[in-house]
Amino acid sequence: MLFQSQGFALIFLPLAVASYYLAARSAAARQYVLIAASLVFYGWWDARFIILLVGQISASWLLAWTAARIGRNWPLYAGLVLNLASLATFKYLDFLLASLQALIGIDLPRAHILLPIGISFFSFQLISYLVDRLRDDAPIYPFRPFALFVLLFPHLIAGPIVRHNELVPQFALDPLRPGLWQRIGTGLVLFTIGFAKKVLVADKLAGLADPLFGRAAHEWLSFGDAWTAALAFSFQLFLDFSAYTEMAIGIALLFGLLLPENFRRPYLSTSLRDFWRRWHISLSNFIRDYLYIPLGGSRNGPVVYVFATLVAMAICGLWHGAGWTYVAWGVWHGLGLITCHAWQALRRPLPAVAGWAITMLFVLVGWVLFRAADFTTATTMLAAMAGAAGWGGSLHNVGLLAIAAAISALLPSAYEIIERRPILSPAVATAFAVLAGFCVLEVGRGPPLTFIYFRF
Amino acid sequence: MAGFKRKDGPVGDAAWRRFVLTFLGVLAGGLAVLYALIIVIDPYDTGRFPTFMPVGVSDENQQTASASNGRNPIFNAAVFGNSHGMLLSPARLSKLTGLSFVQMTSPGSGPREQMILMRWFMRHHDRIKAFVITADQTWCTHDPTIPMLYQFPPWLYAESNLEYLAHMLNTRSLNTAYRRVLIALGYVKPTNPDGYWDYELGRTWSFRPERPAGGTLAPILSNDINRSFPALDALDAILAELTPGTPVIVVMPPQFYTLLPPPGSQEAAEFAACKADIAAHVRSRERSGFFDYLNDTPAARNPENFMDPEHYRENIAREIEADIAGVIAGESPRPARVLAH
Repeated sequence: MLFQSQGFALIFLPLAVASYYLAARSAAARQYVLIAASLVFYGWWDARFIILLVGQISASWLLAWTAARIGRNWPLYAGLVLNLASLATFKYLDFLLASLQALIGIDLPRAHILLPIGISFFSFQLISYLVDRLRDDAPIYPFRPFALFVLLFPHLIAGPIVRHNELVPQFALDPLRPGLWQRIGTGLVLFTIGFAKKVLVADKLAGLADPLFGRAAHEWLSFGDAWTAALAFSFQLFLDFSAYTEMAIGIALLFGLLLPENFRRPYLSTSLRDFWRRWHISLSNFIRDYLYIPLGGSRNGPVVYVFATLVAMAICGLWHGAGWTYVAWGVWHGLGLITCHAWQALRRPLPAVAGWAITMLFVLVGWVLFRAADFTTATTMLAAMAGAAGWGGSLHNVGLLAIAAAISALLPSAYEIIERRPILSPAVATAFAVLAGFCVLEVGRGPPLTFIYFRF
Repeated sequence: MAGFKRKDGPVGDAAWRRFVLTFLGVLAGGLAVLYALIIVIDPYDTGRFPTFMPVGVSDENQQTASASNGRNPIFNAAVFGNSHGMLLSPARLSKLTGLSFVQMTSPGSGPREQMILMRWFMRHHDRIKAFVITADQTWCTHDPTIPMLYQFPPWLYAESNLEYLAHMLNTRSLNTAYRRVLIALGYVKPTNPDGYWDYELGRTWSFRPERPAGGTLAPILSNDINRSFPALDALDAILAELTPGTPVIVVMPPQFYTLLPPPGSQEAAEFAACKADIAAHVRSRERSGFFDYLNDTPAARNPENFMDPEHYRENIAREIEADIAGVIAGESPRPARVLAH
């Protein structure tokens, strides 16, 4: 079930919220309501994968519990292997086989396993819990809140990636506590903003970018076409994913829960390090805490720093998809972060405008690599952007690109909206309701496009 | 950003409560009113619920216009198919046969969509006088699921009103409903209810076929010809519901010869088996016929007969219409009909 579908917005969500508040007085009852709703939500795509999801959650909890009982760490390592093996099998097996085939030159069979939606997100959350148990940085939770921490449907499919200690304690809070209407009101505003960004802007940008990237797979694009494709995809990716996050945070607020921040207007970044503090923050934090620092971080000399950065970013790339273009995108950002780090060590800061321009150009080139189906397409696209096929053509649909740029730069992020607040007048409430209503009518036109990050 | 402001101290929950209730009231109330209006106006003229609107739509999309045209009581015969049947004129067929034909073809559609339209026409007409089906290669699918081939609204023609209602709350229905209101007010004329759209209109003939690639013909890959054609079995079930004696004419219109499966190939052998199956099905019915123009004939090699490789021109349509009228009049079709051009 997609957030931006009529079934979700008009039936599932109102029913889930109503059931939750009917059960609000009992912590157990309201948690069961959320677990049931989350299982229905997940099973809507493919009920078979509920077994995998519940199995991974149950096994991880049981192994953590066993480790605590016997006072040994091996069950925790077993849990890590289990989650990594699940991810490797369902997401990376065919990629590994194809890579091995290219290496040894022998035809290998393919598994053709269907990718369970959200597996990267829920596996990472379970891994983070098990690692925290190894670090003695997490308690053993009762099974129900533990399961709910992973299952909670607002973040289940595409994050934000939540750490156990950010969410589990919130399950004990009374949803009817003071500030109820503020939380619901803010949730509705965030949901509406995300809904509108996805349906009215991001999906329109997809209509601009997709055919051009498709063409680039087998022909040269003009200079104008190539820049249109790169810009349209860059804005689409941000608006699509931040829209999802805003809807997720908004929905969680309807249940009185606060999810972590994921974006902070990343296209205003003036350096690449700044960009990674603003882009997919929950993933950046995860990569930092569970990969980059364990690999040595920046405090063990330049060689270790370069190694840790490149490996962490390559894995970050691979997390996004089973393909070498994703790895290359990660390494590209790794190299950029190393360069940025070295430049900042010189203590000769660039003017903000120059820093912004260089960062955006760097990010844009990365997105071409990220979006292209293969290296040939990416090379064709980047060469066309550099004028290799001439300087012809012009930007298409400049109006849409300008609107996307304005929204990306000016619209407050989810947490900025939570920290500020809408002007509480009937006119503003009506305006948001009309916007939400229009989005409901728009998505009723036909099959909605899924969020890009559902693939990861 | 307009609409947001910095927190300037605690805001009472009462203000938020008013905000939330206004939001929900406007959203729920607004959507409910629009939905009720859409259902009452009946944008596609489906006749599912009582309406005060006149009959007819202003809709050039044949995938949706057939809802109105296909239930119009002035018609008693219909042409089904995809764009390969579009050029058969209901007006000319009506004149030739004395019946009243409607065009129910849906561009890009396959057998599944076309059978949905057949059932819609049958549900709304008790006394059907003729059924013309323009078939093509898509009817020879071996896929038992008979997949839909193009965007098509099955919910519009569904027997279940619930399925229809679940798809009506959207901007497209709203726009179409608005056009229906303009028809009722006399500002817009309804589109021709016979469903005919001439794809030659306003276009200049310019078909310059590419020379087919040379090379050896594909050999028959196996003697095991797949004779399972699930779409034809499903069609059988539909035709069985027609009153016995209702003329059913299946036509395979011509395509430029380069689109035909290479002679001697497995594909050609299976296509021939499919045609034989259609012929056998139709032959068992009274006053019915099967015209197979989808062959490598001089007419199929003449570019002047085609607008593009798939779509023939009006001269061919007129010949096909004459053949259809002949069967309805009681003539038996010649077994191997060759177009004159």
